[in-house]
Amino acid sequence: MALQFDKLEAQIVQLGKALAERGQSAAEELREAVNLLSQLDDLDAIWEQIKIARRNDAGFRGAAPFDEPINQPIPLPALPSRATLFAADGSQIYPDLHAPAPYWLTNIGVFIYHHGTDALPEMISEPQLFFQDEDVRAPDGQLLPAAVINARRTVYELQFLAKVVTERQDSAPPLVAMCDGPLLHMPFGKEIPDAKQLEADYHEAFDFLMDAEAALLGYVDRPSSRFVLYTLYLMTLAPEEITAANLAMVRLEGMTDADLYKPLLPCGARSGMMVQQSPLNKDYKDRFSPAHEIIFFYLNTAAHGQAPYLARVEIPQWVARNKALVDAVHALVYDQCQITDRYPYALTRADEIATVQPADKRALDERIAIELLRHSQPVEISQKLSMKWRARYGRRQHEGV
Amino acid sequence: MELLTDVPLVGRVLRASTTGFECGTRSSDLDEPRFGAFVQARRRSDSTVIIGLIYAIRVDDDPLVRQLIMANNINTATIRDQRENRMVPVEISVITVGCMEDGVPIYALPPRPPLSLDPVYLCDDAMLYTFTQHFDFFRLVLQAANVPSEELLAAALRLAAAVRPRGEQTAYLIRAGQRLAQLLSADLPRLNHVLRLIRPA
Repeated sequence: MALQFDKLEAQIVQLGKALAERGQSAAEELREAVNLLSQLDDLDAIWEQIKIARRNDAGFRGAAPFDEPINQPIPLPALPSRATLFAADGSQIYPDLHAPAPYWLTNIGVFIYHHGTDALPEMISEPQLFFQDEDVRAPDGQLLPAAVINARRTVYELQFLAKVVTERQDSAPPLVAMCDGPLLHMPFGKEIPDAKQLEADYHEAFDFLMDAEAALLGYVDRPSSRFVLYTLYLMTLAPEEITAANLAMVRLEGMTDADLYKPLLPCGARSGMMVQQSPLNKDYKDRFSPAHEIIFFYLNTAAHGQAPYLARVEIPQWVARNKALVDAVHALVYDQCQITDRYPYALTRADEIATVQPADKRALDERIAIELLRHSQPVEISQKLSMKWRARYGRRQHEGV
Repeated sequence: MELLTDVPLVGRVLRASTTGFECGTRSSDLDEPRFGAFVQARRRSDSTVIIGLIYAIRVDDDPLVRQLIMANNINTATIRDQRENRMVPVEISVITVGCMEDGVPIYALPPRPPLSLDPVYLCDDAMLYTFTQHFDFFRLVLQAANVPSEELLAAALRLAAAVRPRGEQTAYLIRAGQRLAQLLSADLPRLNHVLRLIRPA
């Protein structure tokens, strides 16, 4: 055992105390926040404050109401009798100095679930191997960092999902295309060499899905977002107090939007739809299309008798404007969460299809090494990796006679 | 090696030793193999056919299956997905009871075990009839550790009797009982138990 627990014990005890203290003070603040939310019936008043924040360039990153009250639960609608769910997930092997040859890989899995029938669900996976020098190395000659691979994988997931949905667009409607994680991804920063192209590809995939009339959604489990809490704080400020300095002062330790909505949303209910006020979301809307603006709602995925368990569901505006489609998304996502206990079954399976296990990586490295040897190319075993593996995993128990 | 087509494929060898082996299959292919069935494992480019008895069939669980059961909201599509798509492995444990060389039974452990991925088939009726004409394989079963020997022999003998003409089945089981009486004369409770299990209806 490498971890010396006797040295950690005191720190763990401190952690417990700190969280308990934070929890106690947060509980009181949460009660006030819940009370404030319950009074926020005037959507125009919220928008008024947001407009002031925008005029003052105050850097407001909270939530704006879309077209529904944000303090009322919206009950679970009827489940469609038929639907086709496409769930996508992806995994990767990062470039590795210790591999027999420099490469990286993405593996995208799509799971197709025919809701309302006994039909066997379908699995499709698409591995892609990148090994050309220009694909593996940055201009400075270093292997591409993980951030670049992650950005590309995010886009490839959506591209492949869009491709599969487009090919199957005659499936039983409504078509629901699910991704694990937010649709409003982290911005592709300067460290991503082809960020612009990736953004364009990402939004082109949006367009394909929109053309196929599919309801795209991003599913965020256990969201730690505080968008609505920021909005509540904004509503406590007088117009002249809405400044960047004041907004930066807000402290929300120990509280999230999920805590705010847990008392409000019964099983299966969702919050009203909201729009995250962020530069990236504005960019989606302005640079690509208003239909690409991301809307979200919170959903209580718990079954009757269980404690509330919230997820954040993100949908593009083209879905949010179609109430029938929103109802279908709401009902179908909740139904999926009842199969696998508060997380969509289709996404669970998509993840399983996509995940590259350590044994898979070892097998791939061996296969690459064999191919190199076939072509009389040198294969140098990494002594560092070999020694570390032996030290970590090479022990066997003496079994006696 | 070409696969046999006239006998059902039970699975492929996962791991083996001279005294037995385990083979794997998919849960969707679980219709044929049964407890006590005679199986044959054929090694590539080897004329020896290893004969074994299935003594255990295991379906492993996994965390996702447990989660589905706890959520208690399983539908047919999900069950089909689990059984037909997820390749939940079924492991079948086999005890070696002899081998066949050019169609002649040898009631001893084989010279070599089967190799990984060698196919394992059910024995066809003719092979089963030939191999079970003599009872010399009883000792290997009765002496095996961690095997439900009495139940296994009883199941195997019922299957062996079933491939014989109806008029010979009772006589066959009586002969088998007499042989068991010789082998288990020092263990009357065990003998009594297995005789009850093979008693003709």
